[in-house]
Amino acid sequence: MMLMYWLAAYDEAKTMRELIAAIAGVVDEGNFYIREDGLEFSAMDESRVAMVILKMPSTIFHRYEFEPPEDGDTIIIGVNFSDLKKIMQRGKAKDGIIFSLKKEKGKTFFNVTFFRGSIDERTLQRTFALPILEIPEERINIKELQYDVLVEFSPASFLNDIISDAKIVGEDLRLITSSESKEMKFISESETGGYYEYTAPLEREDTVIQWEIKNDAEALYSIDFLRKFVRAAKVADMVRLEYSKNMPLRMTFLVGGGAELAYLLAPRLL
Amino acid sequence: MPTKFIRIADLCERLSKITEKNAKITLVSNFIKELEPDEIDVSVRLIIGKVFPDWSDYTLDLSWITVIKIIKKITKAKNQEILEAFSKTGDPGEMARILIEKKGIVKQATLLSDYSNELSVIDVYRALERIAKIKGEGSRERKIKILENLLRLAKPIEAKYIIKVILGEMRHGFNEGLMEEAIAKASRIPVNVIRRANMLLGDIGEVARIALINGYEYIKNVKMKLFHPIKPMLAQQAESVTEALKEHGGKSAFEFKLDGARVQVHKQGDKVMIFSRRLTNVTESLPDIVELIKRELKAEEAIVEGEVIAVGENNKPLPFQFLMRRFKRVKDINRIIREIPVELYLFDCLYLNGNLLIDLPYIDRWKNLTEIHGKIKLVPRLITSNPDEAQEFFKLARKQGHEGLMAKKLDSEYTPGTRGKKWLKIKETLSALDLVIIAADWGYGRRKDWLSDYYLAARDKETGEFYIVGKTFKGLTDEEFKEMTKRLLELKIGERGRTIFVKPEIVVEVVFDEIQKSPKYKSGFALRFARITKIRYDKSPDEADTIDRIKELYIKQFETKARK
Repeated sequence: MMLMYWLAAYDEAKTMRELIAAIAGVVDEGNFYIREDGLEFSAMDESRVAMVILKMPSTIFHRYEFEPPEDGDTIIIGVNFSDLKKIMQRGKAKDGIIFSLKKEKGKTFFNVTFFRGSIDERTLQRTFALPILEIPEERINIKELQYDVLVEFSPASFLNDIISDAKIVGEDLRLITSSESKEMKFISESETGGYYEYTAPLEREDTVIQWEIKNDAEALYSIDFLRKFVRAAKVADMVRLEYSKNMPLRMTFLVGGGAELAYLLAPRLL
Repeated sequence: MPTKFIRIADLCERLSKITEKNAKITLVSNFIKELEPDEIDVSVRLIIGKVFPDWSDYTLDLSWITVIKIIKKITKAKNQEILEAFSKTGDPGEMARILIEKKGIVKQATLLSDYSNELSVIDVYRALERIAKIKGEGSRERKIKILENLLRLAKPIEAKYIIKVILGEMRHGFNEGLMEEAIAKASRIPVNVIRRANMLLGDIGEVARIALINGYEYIKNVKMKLFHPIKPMLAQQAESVTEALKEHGGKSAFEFKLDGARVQVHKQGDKVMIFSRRLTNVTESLPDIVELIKRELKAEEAIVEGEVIAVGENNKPLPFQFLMRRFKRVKDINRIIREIPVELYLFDCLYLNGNLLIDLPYIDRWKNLTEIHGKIKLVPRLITSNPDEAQEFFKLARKQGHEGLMAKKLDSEYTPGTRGKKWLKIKETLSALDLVIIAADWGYGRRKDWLSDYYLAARDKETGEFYIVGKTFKGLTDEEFKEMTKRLLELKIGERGRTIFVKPEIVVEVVFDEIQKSPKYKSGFALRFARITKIRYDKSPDEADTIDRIKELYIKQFETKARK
């Protein structure tokens, strides 16, 4: 019986390592939803303030094989991310990586294999088996959000320095966009009057890929969370910010090949 | 409509302002009648400052210091402001309310909220439940993050009661007993039926839900659940064996009062769980006792009660502190089993093969126990009506290194959770009090690095506040001073000069020569020559002696002394 089978191979273990680390910074565990056309992951952080959503189409992998389980078209695999992160850190610079499932004595394991050479002629192969978790599915009712502001920056690391700067001064980052001045401002303030401000002109084509302002908006978000999110910049080509006043922020990192890692962050209220 | 948490906060605030008992009961009774079915258990527990059922293993593990740090972080208050806010009422919840109101906080929405920024009862419960579920590496930071974000969504008065619930200090004079009355009133079911159901289920919330939703027939027939601990029956103090005999109508069963830890053992087939006197699951600290029970207890299903003591050379009991090391540690348990061997002595049987025995007379429960105990020891016991024989037995207990005797009335049933005269404890030191340390001074000279002078406080039964009744620097060993200093610093709330103020948490047994009237202390009493005889790791502050008890002893001492 060959039901419920999955294998996904990728040339660069390093990219996968960064993606997993960027998820592990925000959530501790969660379910992978594995389908014919790729895999998805989504989970909320324990304080229910942030959420991470990963989408990887099967086409991004160098090899992707899938047989559905008996009772549906999706394999659901619960994984502990701090454990997975530790395994991923064992990958070396030139390693390739294979994710797969293994059943042994009735238990299913999430296998992580590092290798050198090509997928068909592997050498120095090392395999870790991670026990999978039963994580109750939490149906999250997040309404389809409409955003007043959308801005796409490139490179993806565009925001990293801004957020590191802002952290020195305060705990919340204030975003202000104005369609009139065609600017986006990032502001952080301290209790004692300390102040940081960065202004991004939206017309600059070398950093802003596209922008859209339906309504001018000002909103406030926790810097601690934003700092965790921007780790993902390491493997992304660009980052998209979407927000409205007193509504969640959506920060989406677009990774080459059609994968994306998105974070939702509930606002601090103005 | 989900009930907003602010309604519970407002209710508790009103309770703390009303003194009349019946008015409190009516208020709560009306409140719980309006709750949605799935909110009843949680709300009823939260009102009396409990998050989880008594039998539950969940603990929040958020220390007092952690809570202060979070309040400090979200309000950005300075140390001086924190101390000022605290010293106004001595109440951590009120402190949070004052600071949040004064300083304001940046509100953090959650992804689940509707951004109208109002907490429901269930929101608060779910967040606390998530905190309790976190274990292991990095758990402290994760717990902090959840609480921080919960408080960032709370109004000042809500923050006050979230913190009070977390620290288990409601201080609104509405305890579990009154809640039972409120449930009785709301459901029109006699209060004794409610109380009994609560004893058996160990969850006042579940009791309320069954009473209000399912009604009399159901609540009357609730069954105790194995592996959910029953509250232990408690004893009052007697001054002598003679007093005990008199109280019990001329005849008592005297049992050795062992200097150990009281445990309740549940067994079903091969499954065994052991609970402490405070209903904490201590099974993992006592694998040797688990094995003993599995091997020797001749019953398919049973709940038995006993005392675990640590034994040293020649089978002499070791001081209580040694035993507590067993309870505190789960790691390395195999080594500790060898280092600190323990023994179990049984003294009661509450449940046997499907039958609840608590309504049987003591003497019959003991008979059941003798039929199943196998090679497990029973506490040494003597049934007598002769005071001289009883006194000899008392001396024997003392000589063998035990605390004294328990006197039990032969025809008494087992009344969980209540302290009555059917059980009496007789100890050597007649007037020992269990008091709570609420402040301490740094020592002088050799003791300069220790907090060595302690302010001892008794509890006000009505308000739950603690009032100082004396001060002492006597009774602890160097080792204990060191440990006490460390623990007190962890509980520190503030300081003034050489004095540090601490959260009332540490209970000590204190003896003294005399109780005097005192204009200096707010309690009105002062202990003369107080000294600490024992650190009561097994007692929580709400089990400490009360001002009323001190008053009682104050009056009593004139039976043997002339009043000046």
